[in-house]
Amino acid sequence: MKIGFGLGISDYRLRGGGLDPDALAFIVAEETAGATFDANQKDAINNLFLNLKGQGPDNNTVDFWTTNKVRKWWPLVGGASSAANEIDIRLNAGVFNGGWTFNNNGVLGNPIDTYFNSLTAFTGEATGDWGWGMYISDFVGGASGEWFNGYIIYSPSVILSAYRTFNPAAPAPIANSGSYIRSGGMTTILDTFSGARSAVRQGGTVYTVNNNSVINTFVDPDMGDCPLDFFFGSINNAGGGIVSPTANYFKSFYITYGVTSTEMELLQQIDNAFQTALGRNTY
Amino acid sequence: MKVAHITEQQAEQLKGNIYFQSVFFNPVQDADDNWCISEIVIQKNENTDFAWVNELVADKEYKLKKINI
Repeated sequence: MKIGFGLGISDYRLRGGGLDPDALAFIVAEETAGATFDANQKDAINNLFLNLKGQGPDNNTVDFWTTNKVRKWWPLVGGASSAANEIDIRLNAGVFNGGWTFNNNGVLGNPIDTYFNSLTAFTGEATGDWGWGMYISDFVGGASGEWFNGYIIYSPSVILSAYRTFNPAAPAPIANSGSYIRSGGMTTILDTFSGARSAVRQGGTVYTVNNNSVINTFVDPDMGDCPLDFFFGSINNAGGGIVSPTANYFKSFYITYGVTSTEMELLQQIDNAFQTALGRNTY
Repeated sequence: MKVAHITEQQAEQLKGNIYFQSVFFNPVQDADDNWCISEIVIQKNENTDFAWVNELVADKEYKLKKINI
């Protein structure tokens, strides 16, 4: 791994460039965990970090990094290594559970038992400003016919929020949060920040949306720091197989706080540029 | 995808343990409350403490358990 790493640095120096120090730290952590990268992949990772810092080719204005607006981002570039795929851009690790498959396309779940726990115990935050995004390769509808691919849950068996058409309009605490999902095989963004698909917490109550788009509230058993965690994957819950068992590669997943609608769209563009650079922006 | 049925006791034994690299077992219940593990977990299990998992046969169709929230 050290040899490969050294050659990568040499490649950059030969081209007159340099790795962003946080991109370098991420690459080293990934390689230590078992990933291997060629120069193109390192370029893609480096540009992702530069873009998140507002210094990249696809975003030279908004700093999502030092402002901490992007709290976590899993690039899911660990190849066959589960440990590498667990690592996020800030070198935190999540946990994979169930029958996942790992390769250069991303991470592949199944509709029965797979989920990923971000191990994100957010504390002391104001409500209403959480967002999340993910990039997956394809969609299938849930049993109700609604898109049903991303969600935030409180425990591995309780879904608090899922991606779905939202009607009626969300109350204010929810309306400020949002999410998006984008298919690699499609050219249009299927959801944007304007809707509310994320669970949000206000005081001891978590606002959610149920299968019939009815606004629910969930009494948080922990009235202290917010215990909400973020999960993605296919939980056998509430409405059918969540994603196709043969086409549901997750290619990125991220959690934001306090981003505007415009900024969320920018993150989508950054994500798409990243996936395109890796050659995995298609189904 | 097929699953194998296991006992509740076996499910409890598996929970919290790694079966492949850093990935954890995640037995789930189906609509009839059978405990199940998916075919891919059986195929990939490398945890010799639970070698019996590799002997399981995933020959059951999984029946989704719906949970109302």
